[in-house]
Amino acid sequence: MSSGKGKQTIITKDDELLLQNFSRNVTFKSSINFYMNALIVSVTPLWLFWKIHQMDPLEFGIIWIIMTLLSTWLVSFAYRNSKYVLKHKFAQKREDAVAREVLKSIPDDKKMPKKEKDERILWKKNEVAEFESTTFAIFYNNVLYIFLTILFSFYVLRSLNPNFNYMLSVGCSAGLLALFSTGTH
Amino acid sequence: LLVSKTILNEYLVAGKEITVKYSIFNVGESAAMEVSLHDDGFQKSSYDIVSGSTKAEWERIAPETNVSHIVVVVPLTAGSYNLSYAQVAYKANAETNDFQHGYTSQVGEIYVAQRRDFDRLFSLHLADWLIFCAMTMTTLAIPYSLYNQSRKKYEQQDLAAAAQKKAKSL
Repeated sequence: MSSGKGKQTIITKDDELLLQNFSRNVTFKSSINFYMNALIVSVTPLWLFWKIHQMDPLEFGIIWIIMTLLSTWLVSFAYRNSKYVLKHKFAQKREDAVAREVLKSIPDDKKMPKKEKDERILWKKNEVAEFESTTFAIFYNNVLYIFLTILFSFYVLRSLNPNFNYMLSVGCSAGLLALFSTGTH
Repeated sequence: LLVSKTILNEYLVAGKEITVKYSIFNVGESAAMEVSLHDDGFQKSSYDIVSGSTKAEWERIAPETNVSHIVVVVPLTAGSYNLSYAQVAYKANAETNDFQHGYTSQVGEIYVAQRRDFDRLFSLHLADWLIFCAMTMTTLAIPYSLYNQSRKKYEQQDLAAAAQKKAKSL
């Protein structure tokens, strides 16, 4: 691990990798994944506003584009935060099962130092936690977003003009999603 | 004769039928003869007449009886319209040759709403909701099934390990 010499703390390559794996920052691939999913879920309610609220796409196209982009950014922000919180939980939950899986996969006749085994377990644990936290964060936030949009649009703001209804429903849903995701639990 | 002109619809929508009812009440003691009703209020440029006629005639309306006439029209565009009175002409009794002229009650200004505003409030949109549900399912089902696959795999392993441990301890 890190060795402290006097007042300086030297971070090794292993520490750097560990920090990167469990930091709030996401990889480029993960970021694209989040933005694509956020875009899809932000575009989905437009169907309701077009067909049920009878908003004309040609007339309201510009507003739709602006709000969709805003919503995409806020929802992907929510995904990122949720994933960060969930990853630690899933990493703890799957620790034993992943360790067993990795140890099972090592042939008995192969002599591997303990450090290498631990590294493999840590890498696999990180991979599983990354996958489960990403997919669950997307699922959970999508459910919440769709629910809030329908609630605002067809119940809370139903008497408003369709244009304001759309802007407030989508804005509030995405905003609340981003806000809830900043919680620690 | 007392003549009224009323609209039976609750909501007036462009492209949807409006039912107009004319009711003639003979409150006099003698029969009204050669009664004719004539309404110029529905111009061809603004309305399509779907059923009935804006002109009607009755040979005789007995005293203390009433008759009615229905016209169904479709307004072509949304907006405000003024539905004025229709005209009635009749002979007060069988002996006279003079026609008396009268007017129905006025409906006044009506507002015909756009079709899309009406649909927004009242249409069920079942097909639209079904399509939305199908679209939503893909954004929810795919990430959930991926998560669930991984979860089940590792939870089964945990259960198997726990069962093995229990068997060993026994």
